[in-house]
Amino acid sequence: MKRYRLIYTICVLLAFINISCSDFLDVEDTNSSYTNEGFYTNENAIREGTTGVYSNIYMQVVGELAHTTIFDFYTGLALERNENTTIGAGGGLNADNSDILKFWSQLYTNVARANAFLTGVKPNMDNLSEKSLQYVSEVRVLRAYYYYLLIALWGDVPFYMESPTPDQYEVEKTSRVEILDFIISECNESAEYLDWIATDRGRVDKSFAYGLINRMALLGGSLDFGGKSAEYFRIAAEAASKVIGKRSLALNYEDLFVVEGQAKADVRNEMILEMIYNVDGTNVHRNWTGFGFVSRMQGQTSRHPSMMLADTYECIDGKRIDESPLYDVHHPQKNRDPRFKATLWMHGDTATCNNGSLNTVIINAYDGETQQYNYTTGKWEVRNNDDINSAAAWASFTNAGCGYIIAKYSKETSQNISYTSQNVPIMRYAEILLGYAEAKIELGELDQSVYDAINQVRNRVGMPDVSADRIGNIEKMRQLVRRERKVEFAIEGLHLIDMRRWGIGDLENEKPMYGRPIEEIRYEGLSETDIPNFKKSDRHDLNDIPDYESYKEKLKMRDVNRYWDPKFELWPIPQQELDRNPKLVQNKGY
Amino acid sequence: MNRNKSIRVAILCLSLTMAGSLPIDAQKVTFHEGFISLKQAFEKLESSSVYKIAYNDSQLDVSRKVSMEQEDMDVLQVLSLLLKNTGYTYKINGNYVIIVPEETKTIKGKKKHVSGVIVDTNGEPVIGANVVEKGTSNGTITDIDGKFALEVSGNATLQVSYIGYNTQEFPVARKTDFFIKLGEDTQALDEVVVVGYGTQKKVNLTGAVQSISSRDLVKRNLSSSSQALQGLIPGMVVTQSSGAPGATASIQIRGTGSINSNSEPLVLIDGVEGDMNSIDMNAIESISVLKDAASASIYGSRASNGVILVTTKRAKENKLSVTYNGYVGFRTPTSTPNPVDAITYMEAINQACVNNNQAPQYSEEVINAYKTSGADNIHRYDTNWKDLVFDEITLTHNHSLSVSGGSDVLKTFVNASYNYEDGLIPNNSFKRTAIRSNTDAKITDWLRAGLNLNIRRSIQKDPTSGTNSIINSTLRFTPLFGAVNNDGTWGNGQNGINPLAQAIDGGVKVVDNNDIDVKGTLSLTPIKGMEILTSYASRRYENKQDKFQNTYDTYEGGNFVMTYPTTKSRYEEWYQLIKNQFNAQVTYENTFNKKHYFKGFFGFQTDELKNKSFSGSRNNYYYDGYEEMNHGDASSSMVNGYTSKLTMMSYFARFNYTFANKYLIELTGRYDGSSRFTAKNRWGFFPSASIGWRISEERFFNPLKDAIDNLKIRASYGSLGNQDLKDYYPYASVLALDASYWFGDSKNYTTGIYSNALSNPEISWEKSRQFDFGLDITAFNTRLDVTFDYYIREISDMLQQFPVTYAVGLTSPWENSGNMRNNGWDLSVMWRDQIGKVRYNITAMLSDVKNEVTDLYGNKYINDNNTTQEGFPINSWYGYVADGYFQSKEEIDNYPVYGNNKDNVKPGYIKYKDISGPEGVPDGQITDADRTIIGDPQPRYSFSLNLGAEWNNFDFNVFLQGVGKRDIFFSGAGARPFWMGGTVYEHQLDSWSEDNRDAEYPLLLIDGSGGGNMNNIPSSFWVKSGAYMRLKNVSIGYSLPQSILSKSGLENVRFYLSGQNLFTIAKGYKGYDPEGDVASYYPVTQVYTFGIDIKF
Repeated sequence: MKRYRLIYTICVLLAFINISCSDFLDVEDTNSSYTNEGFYTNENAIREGTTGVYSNIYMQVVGELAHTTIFDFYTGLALERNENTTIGAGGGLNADNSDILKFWSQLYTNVARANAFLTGVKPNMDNLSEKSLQYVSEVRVLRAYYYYLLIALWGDVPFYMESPTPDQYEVEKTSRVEILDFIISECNESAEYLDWIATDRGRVDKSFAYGLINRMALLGGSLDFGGKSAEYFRIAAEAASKVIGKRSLALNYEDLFVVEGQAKADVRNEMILEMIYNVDGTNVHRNWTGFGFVSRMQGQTSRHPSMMLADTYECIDGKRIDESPLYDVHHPQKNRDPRFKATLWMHGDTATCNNGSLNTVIINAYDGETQQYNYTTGKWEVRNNDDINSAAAWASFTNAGCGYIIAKYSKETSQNISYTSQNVPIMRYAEILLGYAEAKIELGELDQSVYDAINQVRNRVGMPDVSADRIGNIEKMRQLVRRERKVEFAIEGLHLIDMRRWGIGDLENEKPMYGRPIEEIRYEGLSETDIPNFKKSDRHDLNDIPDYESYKEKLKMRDVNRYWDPKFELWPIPQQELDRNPKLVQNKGY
Repeated sequence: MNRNKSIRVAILCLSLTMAGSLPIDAQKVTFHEGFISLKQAFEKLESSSVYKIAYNDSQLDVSRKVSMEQEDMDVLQVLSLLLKNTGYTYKINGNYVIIVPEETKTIKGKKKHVSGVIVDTNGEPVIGANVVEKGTSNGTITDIDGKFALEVSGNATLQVSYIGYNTQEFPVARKTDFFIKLGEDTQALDEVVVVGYGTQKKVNLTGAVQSISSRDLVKRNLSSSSQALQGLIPGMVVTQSSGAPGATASIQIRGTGSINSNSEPLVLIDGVEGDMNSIDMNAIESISVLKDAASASIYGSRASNGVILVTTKRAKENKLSVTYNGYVGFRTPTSTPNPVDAITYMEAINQACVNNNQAPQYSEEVINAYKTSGADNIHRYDTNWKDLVFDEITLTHNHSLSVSGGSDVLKTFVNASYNYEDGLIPNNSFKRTAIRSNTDAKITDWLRAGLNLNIRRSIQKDPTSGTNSIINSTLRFTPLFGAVNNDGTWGNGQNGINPLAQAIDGGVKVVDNNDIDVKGTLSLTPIKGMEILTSYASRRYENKQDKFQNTYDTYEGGNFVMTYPTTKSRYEEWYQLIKNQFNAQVTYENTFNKKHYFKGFFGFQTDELKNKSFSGSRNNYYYDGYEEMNHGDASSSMVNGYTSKLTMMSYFARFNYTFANKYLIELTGRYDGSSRFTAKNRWGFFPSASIGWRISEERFFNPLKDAIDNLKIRASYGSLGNQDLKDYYPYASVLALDASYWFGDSKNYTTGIYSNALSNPEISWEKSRQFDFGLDITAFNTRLDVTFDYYIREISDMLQQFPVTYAVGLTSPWENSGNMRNNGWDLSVMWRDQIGKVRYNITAMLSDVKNEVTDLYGNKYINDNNTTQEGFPINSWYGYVADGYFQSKEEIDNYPVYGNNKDNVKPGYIKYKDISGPEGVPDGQITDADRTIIGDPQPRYSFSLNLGAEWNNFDFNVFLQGVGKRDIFFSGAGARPFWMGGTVYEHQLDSWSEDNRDAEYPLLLIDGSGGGNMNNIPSSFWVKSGAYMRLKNVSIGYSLPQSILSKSGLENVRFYLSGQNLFTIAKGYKGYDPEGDVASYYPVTQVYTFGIDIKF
């Protein structure tokens, strides 16, 4: 028996020694993730790293709305559902604002992804294939785009060109001029490796790189960065001119915002960079806009366009509503620039939506019942008007809103409206044309190319050429190009920065918002003279800012506390960021 | 005062096993003790022989002084000498020496033969219990089957006593056959407690170790063992924050042990890491809690937050015994906030609109329609979501059957249990079935084997939309949303989200957990006093999740609104965790020169943990009833998977030395290696030392010995490590794989990778050092028991992720930086006694822990509403200091306001104090410089009070528990009316107005997202006291009298009624449970149960 005791004891000791001596504690190769160092050496790795930078391009701050669709809600063109929550009204734009923090952190997340990728690729830059160089260039341009938004929204910001080391976490702000110059040169350098139109839809291409230079340089030009205003306008004009002729406009404006339209080649040609949304794939992104839901028997409407936007659309004769004989105060949607109907719905319009099946209803801002088309019987029937008489009615376009619904992005009928997958543009060719025109106008160079560019955009929707009285008149051309940018790109995310560039935040936001005629008046009750005054001052006139003072008691009023403070020219740096980086200085006024 | 209590008999198992291995022939002893008490003399004899001496100190005067000067003398001879002239002699029964009276007196009256069996509370036979005819020295002790036989006089009373149990008396009268169940003493001097990798006599402990017997747990009648621990150990805070079926409680020992790393204690079930809640309480023999570093340091790097050792039951005897415990009960929420009805809601919203200078949201006509004709549930809804979704009363039941028995070579204990709990909402339940078997085999005299097998399965059922999300919607949704239309169709809720429809028709998620643990041990005794033990344990845990998202159609105003969600989908996930543990250890113990007790222990252990998961999903299920994976749209398929591994290796040793049972010393060390760190930083050594002094054993203490049975002071100091991070590879910078995008016209899925976290190759152990000073007193014949501990716990090189600036864009790396201190004290006082026929016990516990961050390298964290700064508790609430409300426009004009725009501030807004500025002095503005620490979220002064009483066949228990000081920051729906488009609660209507200037809430305003309502910035206004006292448990039981039982063949039958969370005193907002989460939660429940315990 003693022998067995000994054997057992030895076995235990052997087990000890065996395990102690093995590499039992080295388990790194069981990690299912890749290790960063030395990873980006081949084309596949570089492609996947590039995709990783694209994957957060949406930067959804509110629900599933892409970042571009939110920006206009910080301007006079559109309204949040809750009163006094836009811009300064109610005092919500402070350092503790959580949406501002989300924009900030998502932009920097994307910058960091790009930096980590570029830092990882750097040692191998000399050995990259042509395709790899294209991917690297795409990432550099994307990073430039994110920095552009950062300097446009916050001014001077922390600036990293590579992944920071721990001693670089707390840095002071870098001048926005320095950053702008860097990102312009980044786009110029990167454009070399890119095609005019990307083979893979959704990728950054040469048109976007130059288009972005146009957009960025307009910012520097308008705000006179470093006293180099003219220089930037020149850069803007030249960059845009390179793209002109390389791409073309879609034939039909409305095609740009619906799934079936986006499948067409002409739309592809206009869409310079889109955020790709996908509904049938393995991961679903829902472009859940929440625009005008109630009216279309779906949920609550969370965002509304303003009457200021609606009244900016010209009549079909090319004249502003206060100047055109075609304007009908009782039916404001009649005889208007077709982009009005493509962008907005209002009382009396017929709207079709797909909430699982097709529904066509007449939008009604006043009555408890409305008309619905019965697809089975082919007849119109009376139905309950959800905008007036439902649990969600308080959030409808007529109650919470100003009497208008955002139709852009919402006219989708091939897919369920709460689950649509149309791509959302970041840049369209129309912007190149108008951006070129604006730069040239600011440079004082009113040649035919300027009129051609604007005419292309107007003619596409059936609007007449630039009128004769504007030819050669810089002020009038400036007025027109600004008006065109507003109506062409409403809810596409350009206006917030345009508003700042043009310095018109005070005009747009100084007063409460007015909207549809009140219940007792209705559109029928307006008199022919109840037309907004666009000529309160030259600045109002130049920037098409309507004033409703003369008949405001007939109109619904919203945001009574709306006010403007010069500090709103920049967003506040989030308080949490100031807390984490004591070297940051808050923007003036906050 | 001198009651018949301390009958000194050895601990059963120990002595029986020793009996098997040691010869019982004459043993020689030598003593040079001089004059000592008889009691001490007996102890000496016990310690130097195999004999265990049993006596009844109510009769024998053990304090009398005897001379102990013997040279090389037979033990029994010494005993004879000691008992000379006492009127007592001894009898030998196996290993027991029983001191009995000399047969001198003749017993008067007619003699009568009585016999019987004595069992303990678990119905196990009690060996060596003392049975004496009261008032005489006539007595005997029970044999190995717990049986006794005695000749007594006709009118005698039997006095039954046994160590650790209360002495009981039984009049003989006409009865001759007795079945006696001993009432357990909750504590006694000879108690043995489980410590790391072994056991120790409680009196010899030098660390802060406290133990709980299964009895304390079982009487709570809870399905979750973690909940049952609440209030049983001072310094251990157990919080039950959810009433979800199958929910577990969180446990913290001696405060928060880490900022970012795990701060829950290590739970070991029979030496293997496990889950407290996987065990049926009836299968638990005891639980030990190792609180200080010295006791826990044998577990080194794993034990920084304390250790809970669970020992499961094993068969002790050959006799077959069967017990059944079962209860059935119902549960109901403790408190939930009360949402208002539709009219009140609309009026409140309108008021909020007016307060914000905007037109009312609801017209007079709408409100009047409600007032005159009420809700029609077609256009107008007045939904009481709470009533519709919550079941006020839900079922719970639990059954546990244990069988134990065997032979001398093979013994088995088997427990099978079933537990079921119904949730508060439809399609929500938890059930658990478990079988545990512990088998012991004696292969040879020197080789033993054990096999533990635990098979557990639990099934958790929830609505697919998520229980928490449904409850959140239920409590938050406005009454104007439709739940059910008058034609029976679903209402549209909010944007199609209808929590009632989601719960009933939205599909079900079933999580099936399967757990198999096996542990085999081999124990070898090569020479006397030495044991070599090896064990291998393997746990295979599998989690299978099946989720089908069903759609439902909603209607409003008689019209179809939508199908929600738009598509049906299926998701399945499989997750496997494998844990293997190998352990080898050697123990040697011996006593040298009679006084020097020595025990040495050395061990080695490896741990291996592997995770693997796989999941898949499909969307677009077009045909009702066809819901399997393959029925879905193939183009929407998605698969995912990952794997990870962690290993650890450890060497550990312990050395105990005891001199003359008075001076105790213990040294422990553990050397741990973890794969979480690079080779250079991998290993850590964690030593500790502790000492104890049993003052009561000193000669000078003798005068006090009658009153104080035991007095011990002890002190310990040790260090521990912590490496328990979420990350398995924190040193490596890895690329995240979950980034994809869809390029091309056909939107092709393209996989992407990206960096999302910073890494730190230098990462290593977090260390904690703990000093503990303790005092144990047992007095008045063990009726009073006091334990007090003071400790200082220093945590250094804290594992933390410093929040880096958002501009860095990646999540922070792990760092070892910063120090923190927890100091506090634990006190428990127990008293038990008997008044007439009522036996009672009272246990009071009070503990405090104060947390302070001592070093953060000058940094500070500020996270929205909390901060971590040097000199303050971690995560202290942080914000502005509220100074009541602005009462008038003049006041606003004369006072700085947040945001600087006075036009935006109205009377009824919260006023913030200007306490500082950029220059450190008030600057007339409310800016970020005016923020300060506004509260401490850590619970202080945890207390509990346990009262137990027994009278005849009734038993009664009351348990109170609470926290003396704590600050809660209320946010979200918990604090803010209309939060995120939600409703308003009745208590929130107490808002500021001209006529209600000291209201509980500020001016009623609509709460938009993003910002805009400056009353909602973090401020002291929203900090409320979280102190509470709760009547946690009341139970009353009745055991059938023996006269009924003896006919039925049953040994014991007890019925009981029990109630949990019956009554609470708290100070927070109404409707919020002080233990629950603030903003959204599964309500904590009251539980009422009726149960029965049966033993065959």
